[in-house]
Amino acid sequence: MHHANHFYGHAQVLARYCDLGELDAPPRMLGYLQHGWNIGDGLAPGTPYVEGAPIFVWSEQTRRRAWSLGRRNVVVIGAPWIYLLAMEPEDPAAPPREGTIWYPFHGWEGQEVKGDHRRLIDTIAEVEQGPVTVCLYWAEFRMRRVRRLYERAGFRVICHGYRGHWWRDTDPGFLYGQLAELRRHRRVASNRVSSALFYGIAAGCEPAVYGDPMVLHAEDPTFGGVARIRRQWPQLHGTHVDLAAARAVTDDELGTEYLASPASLRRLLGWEALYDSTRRAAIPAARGSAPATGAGSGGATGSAPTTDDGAAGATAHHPLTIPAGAGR
Amino acid sequence: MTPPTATVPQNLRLIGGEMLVWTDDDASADRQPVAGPALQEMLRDLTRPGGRALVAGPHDDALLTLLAAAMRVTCLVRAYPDAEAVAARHPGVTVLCGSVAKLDPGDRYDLVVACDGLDRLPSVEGGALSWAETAELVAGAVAPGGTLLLAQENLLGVHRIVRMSPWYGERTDADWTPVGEYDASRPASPAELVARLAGLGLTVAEPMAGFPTAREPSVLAPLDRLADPHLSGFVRIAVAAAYGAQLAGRPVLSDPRALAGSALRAGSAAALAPVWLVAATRAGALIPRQRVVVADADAVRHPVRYEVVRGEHGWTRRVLGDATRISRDGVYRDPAALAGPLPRGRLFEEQLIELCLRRALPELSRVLTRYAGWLADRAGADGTVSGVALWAAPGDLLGDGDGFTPWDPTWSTTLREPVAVALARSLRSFAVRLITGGYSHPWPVLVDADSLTVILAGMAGHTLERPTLTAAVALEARLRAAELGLDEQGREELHERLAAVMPGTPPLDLDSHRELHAANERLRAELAHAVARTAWAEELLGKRESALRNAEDRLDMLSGSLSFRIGRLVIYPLRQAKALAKRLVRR
Repeated sequence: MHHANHFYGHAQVLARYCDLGELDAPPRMLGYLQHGWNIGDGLAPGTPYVEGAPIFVWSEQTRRRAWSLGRRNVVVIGAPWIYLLAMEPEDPAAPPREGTIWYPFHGWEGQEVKGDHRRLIDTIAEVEQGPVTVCLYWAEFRMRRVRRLYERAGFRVICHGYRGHWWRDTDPGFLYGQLAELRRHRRVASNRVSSALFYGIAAGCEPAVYGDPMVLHAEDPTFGGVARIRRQWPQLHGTHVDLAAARAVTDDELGTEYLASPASLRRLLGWEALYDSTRRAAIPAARGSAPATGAGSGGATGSAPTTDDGAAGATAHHPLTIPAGAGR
Repeated sequence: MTPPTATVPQNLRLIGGEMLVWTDDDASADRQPVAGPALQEMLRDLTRPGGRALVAGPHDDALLTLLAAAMRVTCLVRAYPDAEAVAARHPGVTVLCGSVAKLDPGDRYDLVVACDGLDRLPSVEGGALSWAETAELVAGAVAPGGTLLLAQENLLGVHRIVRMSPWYGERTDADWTPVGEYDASRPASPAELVARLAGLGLTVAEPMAGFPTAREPSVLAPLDRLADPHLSGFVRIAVAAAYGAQLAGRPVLSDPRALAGSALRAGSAAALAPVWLVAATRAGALIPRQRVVVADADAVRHPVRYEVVRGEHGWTRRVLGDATRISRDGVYRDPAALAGPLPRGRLFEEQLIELCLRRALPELSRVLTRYAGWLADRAGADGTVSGVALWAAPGDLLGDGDGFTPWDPTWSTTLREPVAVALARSLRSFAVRLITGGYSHPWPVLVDADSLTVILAGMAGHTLERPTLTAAVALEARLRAAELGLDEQGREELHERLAAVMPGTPPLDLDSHRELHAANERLRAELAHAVARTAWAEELLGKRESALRNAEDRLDMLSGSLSFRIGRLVIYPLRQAKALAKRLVRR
């Protein structure tokens, strides 16, 4: 219902999981999809809400919190990331992982990060042993000054792409690219707990959270901000953290055990009719680990780059298990 | 107003205080004699061959017949038409018509039966009697060594709580002086009842609780034994089933099954049972053995009756009455299947409801997967399921470790259906319960029964296709119709109602007003959502239209530009050449 449902190509990932075949545009959902790790009710602050519409959140904890904040139709389906992982199992023959992928905390378009990139770079260089890839938010990536700072430190600097806005310019391969990058690295680190950190842990990286958390200009303090996150999830903070504990938190926060079956998800997201018309067209889409192919006009469909090319492969045993029937 | 003496039957005596134009047997006024196979089973234990029995108050024919077969029976009723009818149907029974106050105080009986309670023993003629005064008269009729079987309606019973009108507001013809609990002498608990009877020289070994109604209790359980969780868990299920059977279609305030379930779970059976039943004895009388009696009400098709007794190895069921297997339209009931140890385990439906309330989806998924596996294991080589596994929905099964056992194994079917249809039908019946019962559950409030079934099946690891869902509804309609004895039209209607279960659907079996109110709330939510969505769509449409207009304007502007025209001129010959080439190729 909201254009945020389509950020990062989330809608396309779920549509592919739901076997909707080729679509001209990412399908509209009958509700709101949580689009990032969230310590509030799952929606970005200020999202205009259509009364009675379901909110699809990642975790049971978020659902409880949302209920306490007056939301009623809150449904846990897990993060789109877990659906992506269910469709993109790691290649056991991938080359070994090395180094660290580092996500300096970013705000969004309306915010500006206050903090010292140089001090952060020094800290990273001090802690990390292997090669470091720094992944910048697209806004910072476009700022030549910031990019150069990291490059001069000898880091590889990348950007996962543009998440899209008002259904335009969404990079449908955003998450696929991110997954491929994460799987090349042994460690994932950031100066704040964030979606990317959880994605990395779920993708088999060892996590770390350290360095100046970089306070946002005009950060909304409603939910307690950085201090509250530190209090609630101390086990994620530090240059080296307990992997099992971090994975347990990740499973909770991404709702790993809440992965719905394709048929269930179609019913929940209101995609049953789309699926029917797909099947009437009688083109059974190829399933399995091969990504859906074919972009329609406008390049806004589930065109997915393969992830095997750069995926490095320590055989990280991932806690994600796909229930029987899912992914079929 | 005096009946012509010539027409008064030989075995009927008018003793004074008789109500000549009144009847206590009027189904249309919801005023009938006490009845039921469970009470018959209680009486069977108390009959004394050759002894004298007084049946005080309106009791149905089956109870009188049972007693009259073994004892010399006198029956006291206050209404003349009732007395006349009893006298005609039971020529061997002496019928006394009038007020209990006119009973001959010198008459003593080995067995006094007052299963209808004491309220309908005094008459409108003569003074009003309090409970204690009536009890004294009735107790006075018990001979030394005799027994009084007394049922006392509990005004706080579940059946009263869910009743549409309170006892103090009743305005029927029978409520000429509704004193109810304001009669201070009326016992308000089993303990008080026992104490009052003790004051009259009668001893009660163990009071029993009767469910689901005072008029026809079909589950009778000794109150003290309900402390045993195995037994009380079972009684809870039996009571819920009895409420479903007896109150179907009748307007009630709220679903009595939920209320009775909570009462039994909380150990409050004594406080909330609709009726207390006591066998009060004078010194020297035999004390009846303790057991649970479950006997389907007369309205149930293919009724069974059995008792649950404490044996060497725990609680055991024993079939009472007719054990003939009866079948209809592919569904059969075999009372003999009941015999044996009382199964253990928790009602599967209850477990599922709890997991839904807890939002414990991972655990729910594991449990449902286990159930689907259990069902698949019961399939034959052709992949179809029959028998109890096909019959039993979550409300019929006890979860016990890894397996499932029907709590009432008498029901079964000869129909055969593919595993997927069996699973879909079973899960859909649970989905219907979840929606119509107004339970809080983990999915969007506005989800319909089919979608909920697909989601539940997904959690069990199965993908249900549309034809499977359609077949599931037809199967459920067929099984229920056979169980309830519906005709073709009844089955069609049930089928339609089952197929149309939407978020705003109230319970299909009970006319329960709290659930109706909840359904109304869901309808309002659905409407509010629809309105909000329409407004949102309108707004979005406006925005997209304006974006489209901008794009069109830009397109127009660009098409009109000089560079565009020059470009067109340049491309023109190329386009012509391409078209020509195409034509050539086609040839």
